[in-house]
Amino acid sequence: MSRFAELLDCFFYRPDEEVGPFLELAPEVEGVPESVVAEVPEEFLAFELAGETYAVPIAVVREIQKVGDVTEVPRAAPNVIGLINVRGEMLPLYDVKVRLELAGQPPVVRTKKDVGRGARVVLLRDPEGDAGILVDRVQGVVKLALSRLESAPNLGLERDAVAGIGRKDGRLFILLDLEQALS
Amino acid sequence: MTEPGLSQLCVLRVGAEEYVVDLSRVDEILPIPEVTPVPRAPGFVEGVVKLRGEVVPVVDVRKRLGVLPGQGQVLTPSGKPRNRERLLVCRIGRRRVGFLVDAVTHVLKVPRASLRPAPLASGPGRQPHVLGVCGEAGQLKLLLDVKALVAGEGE
Amino acid sequence: MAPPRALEEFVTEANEILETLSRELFVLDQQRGKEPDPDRLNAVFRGAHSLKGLAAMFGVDRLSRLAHRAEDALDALRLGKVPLDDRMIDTLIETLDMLQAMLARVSAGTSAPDLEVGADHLQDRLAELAKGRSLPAGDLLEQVGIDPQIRAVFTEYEEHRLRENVKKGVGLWKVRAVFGLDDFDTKLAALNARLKPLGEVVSTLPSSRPGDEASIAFDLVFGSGQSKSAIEAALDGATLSTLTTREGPVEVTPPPGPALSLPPQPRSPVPRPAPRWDDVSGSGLTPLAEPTSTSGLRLSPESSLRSLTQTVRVDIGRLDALMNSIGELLLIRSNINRLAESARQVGSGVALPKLWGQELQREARALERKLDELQKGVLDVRMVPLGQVFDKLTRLMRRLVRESGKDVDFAVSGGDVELDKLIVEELSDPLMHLLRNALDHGIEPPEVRRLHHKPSRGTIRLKAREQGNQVQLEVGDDGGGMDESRIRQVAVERGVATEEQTREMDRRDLLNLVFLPGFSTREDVSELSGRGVGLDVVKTNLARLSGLIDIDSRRGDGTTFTLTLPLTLAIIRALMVSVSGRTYAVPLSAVMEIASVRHADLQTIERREVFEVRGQTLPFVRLARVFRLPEVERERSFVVLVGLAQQRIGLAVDELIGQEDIVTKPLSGRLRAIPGVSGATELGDRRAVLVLDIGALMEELSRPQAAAS
Repeated sequence: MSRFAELLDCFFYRPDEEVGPFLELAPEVEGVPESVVAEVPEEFLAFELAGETYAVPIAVVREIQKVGDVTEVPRAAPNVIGLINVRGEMLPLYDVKVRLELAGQPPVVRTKKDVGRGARVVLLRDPEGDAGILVDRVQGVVKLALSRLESAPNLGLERDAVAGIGRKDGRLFILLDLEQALS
Repeated sequence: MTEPGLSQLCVLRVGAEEYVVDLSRVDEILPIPEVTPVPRAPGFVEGVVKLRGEVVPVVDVRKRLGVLPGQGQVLTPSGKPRNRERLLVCRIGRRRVGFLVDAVTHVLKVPRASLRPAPLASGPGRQPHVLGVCGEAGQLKLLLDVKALVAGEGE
Repeated sequence: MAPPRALEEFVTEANEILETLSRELFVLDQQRGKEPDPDRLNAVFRGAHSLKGLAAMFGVDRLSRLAHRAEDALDALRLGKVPLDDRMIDTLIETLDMLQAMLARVSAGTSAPDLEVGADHLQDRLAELAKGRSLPAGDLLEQVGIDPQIRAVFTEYEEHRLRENVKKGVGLWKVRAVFGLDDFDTKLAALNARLKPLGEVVSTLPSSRPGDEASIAFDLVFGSGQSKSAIEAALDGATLSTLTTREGPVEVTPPPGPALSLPPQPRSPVPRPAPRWDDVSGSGLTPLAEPTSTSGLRLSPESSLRSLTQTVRVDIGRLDALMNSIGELLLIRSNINRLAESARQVGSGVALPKLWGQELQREARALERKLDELQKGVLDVRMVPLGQVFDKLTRLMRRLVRESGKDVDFAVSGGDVELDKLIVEELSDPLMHLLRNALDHGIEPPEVRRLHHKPSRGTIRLKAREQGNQVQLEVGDDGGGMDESRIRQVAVERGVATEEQTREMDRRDLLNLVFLPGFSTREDVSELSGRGVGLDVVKTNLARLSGLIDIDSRRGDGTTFTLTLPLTLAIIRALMVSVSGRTYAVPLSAVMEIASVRHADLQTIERREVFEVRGQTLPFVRLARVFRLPEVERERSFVVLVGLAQQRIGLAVDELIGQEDIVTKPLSGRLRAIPGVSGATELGDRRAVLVLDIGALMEELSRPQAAAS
């Protein structure tokens, strides 16, 4: 057996593998080991962007707001719609559709009249500075099992901003990679 | 159950790195329950948790891998970096151990042949808890040696 | 990567210790040759000691080791085992610099292998210095006859101090004081404060004869050249007795080889107290307080004195948060004012709403006054004296001057001028830059100075003064000044300006070229006999603080930089303007004047629009164009003149809205790099309004390449 094969043998599970002295104390698995993963599904906020359903982990969502006044920021990056005032905090509002190639140009939004009735600002926590994204409609919270998430299929599109795909009850949820989506 | 030649790997994050463990090891993924400290336990044992009447030892993988507080949190787009923490309950032989990790992100299906040795040249020498790597450059995931994580210091 | 929280705490704490050390060492440095104040030596010793412990606790071993060595040397020093000579002071100052450098690395989260050698070297030197001679023991104190039992409780340090007092030939006293348990700490501190001017409190011992249940007694061993009656006058009820047993004035022969290389103090002419070790204090004072339980009470006076500190350390972030709340209150206030105003007007003719409106307005005014007080209070808390930075710079300059071999006086004034903490912190680097330049390139070598009939000793000045809402800092030297023709030549060579442009420039414009990025590089500074090392960086740093920098230089007479800074960054008065329907805030501190200009009167120079105001031709900069906003065709614009002296530009806007007090909030990290915008603020209607960064805008617009486009 090559050195690496030995290492791999260590990596994969065998019910009869060696157990260190420390684990003598740990509880034993009853019966025949079966690879059944019991897990608590993670909660995601699902929302609509140009007819598709996207989702972000609920843990990163600070709050959801109606669209209010948006201050234009001259000479900012093209995906910055503007600046919004969240109880005294000045946060950037981003458009993610351009990044996702769902739209050619970011919308010009100055007041709530510039957006559809369902449109909302989803405020996200981010270590680089919290930020809002403009979504067409908020759908609600969906629970997705992490172990069932798939990597994004390669469709020959610029999809860096997609972290993965989740499915539930026949619906498709595209998970946003926020770091990429806001860059 | 698994298609031939394919391995199912559970992807988790500790600090700035992504690691994988064999999915067949994984028993449960839980939000962090209350951990009871154990006096005189080996230094790497964070304590124990009670799971359905069983007392399962818990190892903090961050500490075990020497990840500094705060390190790697940039990767989580979250103001509360710790709330994606999970307890990954794994099997080693017929025993069960809990591992505290920063996040469990998803499950990967990869051809077994795509697992390869860790490039020794890169990085500050061979990391003792890494058995190999998988995935493409830039998205490299490290094969975590869970058995080494529970072996005593200096063994 | 930012240091983790625990480390941040360490850095704050360590910084504070280092600042104290720096202050005390500075005084010791200035009083070279005089007998050092034992309290000061002690303070420095304690500082090194705390730093050692702190660093060890946080695992910053390298720093801890050096602090440990410094502590050893200081311990020997305060025990009189080694003299406080130049070598010691210089080594201590270098150690302090090294500790600061190390801390900076810790704070930045980087390692410091380059400091290793220097630190090792310092450690060796400190160890060498700490090796003192041990003094003949027993000696003096036996001669004067101090009860060995009392001596037994003295620490080595206290014994040393006692010996020093004996050597000085002053009287040794025992002061016995009894205090109530509830306030003994303040009383004891007050007694100490009264005694301090008269002599030295060598030791404070909880009394061997305790007071009753509700009181605690202290014996203070006190050395003083004052008469008994003079000391008794300061006691306020405590009792005095002599400490020594021998008859007659204390006559001692100094031990061979004085511990301190200093002349002994002249003998005090005051008659010595009757030297007997008999306590005449009687039963002490009557207890002062209600009885409280004292069982097992063992208070060391040192720990109880700690509660005397009246200061609180506050994270500047919390003050920012407070400031933000005040900003919001100010908004609410103006809303209330508006409501009151409209209630008063709507109600005309109708009695009730009108009265109610008046009432509301009165209350609103009271609220306004209180808010002003509150705002001022919080701003005051943020203010720290510039002296904090000046002290550091003085030490640095001392060293640099020593190393440079030049003969230079460094004159500092205005250290008591206070500025916002954030600004003070940010100032030290730019000031250091300017001072270093003045020394390296401003002041000529002595022989050159003599040749020009100047005193061979040069002067570098650092001066601060308050001017209304601003602080002006001056860094000046009486050196060689700048060579205009050389500046012109370099500017053209480096391509920061064309020859034609430089010919049209007046002296001031020409001098200001040195602030342009790319004007000069490190290598060729000296041949320019002048400045330019990173002056663009200095300027950028100041702009970030809403500050401006100006330069004046005369060939042969020297160079002066003038830095103008706002007192605080937290709340500023701003002029609200409107451009293409957008509102922007212009910090009023940058506004010189406002004019109205007809577009028909505009002229162009090299296709750049200019206008004239009182005989001066200034660039006419359409803000709408800079910000790429749709321009509205109009007949005239308002022009906001911003800048400094000849450096003015006119920012053309559509309308003036009025003045407001605003709290500038930083843009989220993601938008930090927006040029020309320093932050945002909110208006009464909660809309976010961008605050213009005038410094950056001027910088951008005065760049010659901008002129071409």
